[in-house]
Amino acid sequence: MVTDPGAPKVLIIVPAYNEERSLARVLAAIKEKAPAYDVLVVNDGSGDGTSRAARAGGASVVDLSFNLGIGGAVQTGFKHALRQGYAVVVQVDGDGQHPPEEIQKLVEPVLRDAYDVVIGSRFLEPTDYRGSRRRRLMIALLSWLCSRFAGGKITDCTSGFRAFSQPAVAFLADNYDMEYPEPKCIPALARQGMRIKEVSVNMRERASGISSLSGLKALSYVINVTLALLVDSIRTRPSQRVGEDEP
Amino acid sequence: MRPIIILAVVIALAIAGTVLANLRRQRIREEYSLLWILLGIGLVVFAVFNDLVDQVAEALDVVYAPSLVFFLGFCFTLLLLFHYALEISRLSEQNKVLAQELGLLKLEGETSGTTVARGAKSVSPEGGEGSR
Repeated sequence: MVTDPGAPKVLIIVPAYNEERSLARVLAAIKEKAPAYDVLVVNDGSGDGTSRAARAGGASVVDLSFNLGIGGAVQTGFKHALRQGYAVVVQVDGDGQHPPEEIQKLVEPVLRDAYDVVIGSRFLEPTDYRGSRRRRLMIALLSWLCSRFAGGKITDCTSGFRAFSQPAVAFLADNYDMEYPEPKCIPALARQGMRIKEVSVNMRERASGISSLSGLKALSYVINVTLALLVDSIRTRPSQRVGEDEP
Repeated sequence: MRPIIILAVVIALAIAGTVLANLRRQRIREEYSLLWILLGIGLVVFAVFNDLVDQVAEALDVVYAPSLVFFLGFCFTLLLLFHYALEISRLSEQNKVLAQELGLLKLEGETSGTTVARGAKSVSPEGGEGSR
């Protein structure tokens, strides 16, 4: 890949669990729309040919020995990005619901150092997104809760389509929830003083695979995230970063 | 002495002895075994001085003495379960970190051309402690 050696390095993290069928398309689209960025596929213990598909698509691949869940997979990408010194990290899901043509919209505010976290939102402005009524209600409820804890307006707290600055990545590499990372990390990042912004993006229906939120699972998700946010808000925190209060 | 009391003492001693034997052979770490030691000692004490339950029950104003035993047993079980919940949380966190580090190491091995994966296979399964 030809990149300007002076340009800030950008890493696209693609978490993938059994996404053999959609991954080739997703990686091809990323290569076309964001050719200058490195791509890391985190194969979250898939039982299919996800790893092969990722390598065939020209991405670097981390194969996890067993399934860690979305949080554990993405966090692996954060750790990699931190060690390799990437300036910006973008998460693009391997199931094809995050359109690569929107990546630049997320990266740009972080690149010009205006924000630390940029979240691609389906609900900030009217978009083509058509989710079930239950799903929309669920997201609205959790987003409201998330906004209360984060002290700013969030419309799509479950969106995993995000860009992060290096300080945000450094924090998340050590603090990222295994099961409900998307909503849970927003208040945590806000408490760290990270500047958070949403931009309106279009999202597609998944290229393949089934929604991870259906039926009773949806209710359980809402309850668990609510509990997680409440618990998180009363957790004791490690003292501020070492060195900040030194003369 | 009533046979049931002899049986109770024997069982209590067996449980306490099992805990101590495993502790001595370092099959179980001290921090995990504290509750079990306390249980073993408690069982022996209550088996030998079998009037103790009645006396404690009376002192605590418990009408039906055996219910005190069940209550204590329940408390012990809850405590133990909570202890396990803590341990499982700690272990799963460590497990996650290990899986992540292993994945990242394999990737580093691939990109730097060294054969981490192949090298790992040559380590004998008995390795580590046994080779010292």
